Amino acid sequence: MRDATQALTVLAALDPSPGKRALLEQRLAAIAADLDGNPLFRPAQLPDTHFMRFVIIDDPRRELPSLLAWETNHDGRTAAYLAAVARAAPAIGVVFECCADYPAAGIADLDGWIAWMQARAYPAGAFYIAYRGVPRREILNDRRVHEAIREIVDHDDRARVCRLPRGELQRRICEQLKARHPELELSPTGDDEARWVIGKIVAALLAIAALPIVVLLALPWYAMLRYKETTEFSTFYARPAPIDPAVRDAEDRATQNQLTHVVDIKPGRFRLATLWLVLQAIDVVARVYAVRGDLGGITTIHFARWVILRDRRRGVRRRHRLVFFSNYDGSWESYLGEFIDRAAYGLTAVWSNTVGFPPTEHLVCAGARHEEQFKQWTREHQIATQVFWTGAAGSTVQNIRDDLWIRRNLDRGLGDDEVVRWLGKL
Amino acid sequence: MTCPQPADLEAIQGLVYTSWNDHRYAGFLFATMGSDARASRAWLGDLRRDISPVTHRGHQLRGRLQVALTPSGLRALGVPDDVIGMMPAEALGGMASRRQSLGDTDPTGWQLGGRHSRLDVLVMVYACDPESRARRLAEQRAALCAAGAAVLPDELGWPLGPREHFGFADGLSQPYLPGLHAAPRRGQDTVAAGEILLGYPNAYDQLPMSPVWADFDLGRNGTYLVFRKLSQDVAGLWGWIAGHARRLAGGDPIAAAELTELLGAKLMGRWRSGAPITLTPDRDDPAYATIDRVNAFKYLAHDPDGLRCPISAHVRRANPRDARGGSAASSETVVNRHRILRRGRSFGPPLPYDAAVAGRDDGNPRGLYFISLQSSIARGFEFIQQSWLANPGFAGLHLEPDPIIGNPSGPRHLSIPAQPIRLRLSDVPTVVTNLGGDYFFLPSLPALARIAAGP
Repeated sequence: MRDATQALTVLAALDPSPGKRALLEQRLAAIAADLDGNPLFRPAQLPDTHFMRFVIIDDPRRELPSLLAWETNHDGRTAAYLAAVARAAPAIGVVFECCADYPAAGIADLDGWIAWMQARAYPAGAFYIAYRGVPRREILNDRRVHEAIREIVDHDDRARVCRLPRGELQRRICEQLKARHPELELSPTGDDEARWVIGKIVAALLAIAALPIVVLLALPWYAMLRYKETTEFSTFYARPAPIDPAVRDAEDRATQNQLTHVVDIKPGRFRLATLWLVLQAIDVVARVYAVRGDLGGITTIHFARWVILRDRRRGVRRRHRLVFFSNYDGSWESYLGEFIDRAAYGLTAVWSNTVGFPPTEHLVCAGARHEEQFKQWTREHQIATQVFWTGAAGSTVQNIRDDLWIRRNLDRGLGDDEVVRWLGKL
Repeated sequence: MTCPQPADLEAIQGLVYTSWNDHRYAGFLFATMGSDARASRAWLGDLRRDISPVTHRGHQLRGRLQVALTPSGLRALGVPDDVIGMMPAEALGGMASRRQSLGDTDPTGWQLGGRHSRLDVLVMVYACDPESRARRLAEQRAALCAAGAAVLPDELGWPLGPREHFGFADGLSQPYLPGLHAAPRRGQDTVAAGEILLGYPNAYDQLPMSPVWADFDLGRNGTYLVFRKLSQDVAGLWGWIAGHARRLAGGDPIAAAELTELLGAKLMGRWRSGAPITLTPDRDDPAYATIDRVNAFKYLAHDPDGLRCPISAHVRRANPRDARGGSAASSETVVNRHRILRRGRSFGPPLPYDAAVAGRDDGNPRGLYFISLQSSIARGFEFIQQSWLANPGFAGLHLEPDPIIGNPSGPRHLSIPAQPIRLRLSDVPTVVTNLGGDYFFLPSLPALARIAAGP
């Protein structure tokens, strides 16, 4: 689909040769210490990128190789994006060259580099976007438009302005905006209403088509689920789970924050298949229903994705993992609280398939509603994010959605009620 | 049991159910215990007999005593580390460790606690006159010193009056904690007992984590206490408001004086009498400040866009009631998972309103000993402070932290919704500064006895 934002997750094994890991850690720390001024790699050079992070994923049991994860939320197709990254921000190679089997020619061999990256790109099981279909340049433009309007309103003669009819007031603001800011894009664009409607119809048809299979499998699946739920192990926390100081220090810093969470999927095909299905369902919801910044009542997530990390080893008991990356507004406590208060069904359906999760009933009940236990479990599996970069610092999801709405309704000859709403949002 | 029974009320420290308002003189002693745990336990064993439980109510000439301990205080008294380790992470870390999340100043400069001064014990004295307060504080100081403790200078509350220092009636929307009084007042929200007290189901119908010593639940009938010494710049706040009022009134002094009152009420969400601006938007009407009417309002129902009470107003942010998103009912359910009991007292002399409006400070230190009680500091005090008050993106706002509590980082705007267009003020001053404090555990009387008995 045109211009839709994509989730790219590159997971590359670290180079095991001595010194490489230390070098990577050192470089990531240097980048994080000064995102915009460090001499190594400046994420702001990345084209069309909303959020990105680098995370080193270690296996606490030291059976699986350590990985470097690059989570990026970008506009356009992945291959084109990687080519654009290589052109605009070739310095990103200083990070990846610490990984195993990195091509000797590096980014200089563009096709080889893109192929290397794509070979390590994992699909997202489910991907949520708070402003689906809106490219980054539009978000930045609209933020500047709103900022400029605020300036105009703040400096107007209030007593005089308040006497104007509302429609006249809006027109005046638009005229001043055009006169003072010719560089801003002000022409109205519509919402992709038709796209979501088509999406909903397709989703409904698919659901109907799948119905016979669902009916056939539902009973045995449910019986198996209930058996598992009564026999599987849950961690009980009588004391707080220890928190990595690096996680704590990176938390609650700014308007936008991040969370990276890695946990083993419960052993066996049943849980893996159930998890895959649940993620598919959430992905459909995120693609056609939750497209305007509201995921089941949570209005503070910019981008979030779950990635199933398959264990490809042979001859051993495999340990598939589930990785969760979230870019959200506000504090950790409020984010987890929103999860529990507003979206407990969905996230219980996902994480009940992973090890140690609080006891669950019927896939979606109980689980995360064990509030304190769920928070401790999250803490236990949360890992430190070495580099976190946001392309719209200071804006909450709702700020971004308001900016979009204000610009899109700038010049559209709104009705009286809508003008009141428009002026009210300034 | 979902709420405290009469036997529990004998065990719970009185502060949980009362602010001891019939004792107008409060004093606070902070101490670091000595290295002799046996002597410290003997001190606690003696003190315990003087601690007033909920059932000892009413005015007492000798005054009332309450005591709270930090995790380091419990350690100094000989409570094993693995027991203390069952307390929540934020309680174990202490307030200074949460500086980033709370938006506090550098704890190295704090008057209470912080990086270099370990607080173990807080003894709270509530008395009916300044002489008995002085006497009791001296006794407590002597007892602590005899046990080898180092005691900080007395922290003395200003005699309790009807208003806090900014001039507003305070402590109006406390939630109702079941157990003692038969029913909540009109408009008063009921919280699950486990939101305040350990040992009872909380708002998620779960028992909160609790430190258990062998078979004895130290947490039961206890709670966590947050103490913050907040400095208030009264002339800074009202001088700033009056400056904008004069500018907007265009030279008319009577209009400017009225507008000062109105802007102050817009900032706070209540008029100085306590009357909610949501119910009486144009003028202060003390008829709405009565105990029955002062909380009898909602936001979504009466004022969804903040045209009466701005979204950014202090009381609306501290308790968003039905307007925190979703339906009114779901918002109230969620909001009631973040309620605390406030037990604060002012310190320092009040500044007269005229001087404040003129921006004339008298140089006296003044402020609030903020005290709150909750079973989870992270979900109670910290959440309200961080996610609702200091959060510049609260409820769709942009770069707008709470106008009273503030947020030291970044620009600070305040928008006041109005027709046809909002008024936005862009240079909101910092008027509240934390001078220090810590997170304490307020044990039950049996828990104090258990701690005093030793390992």
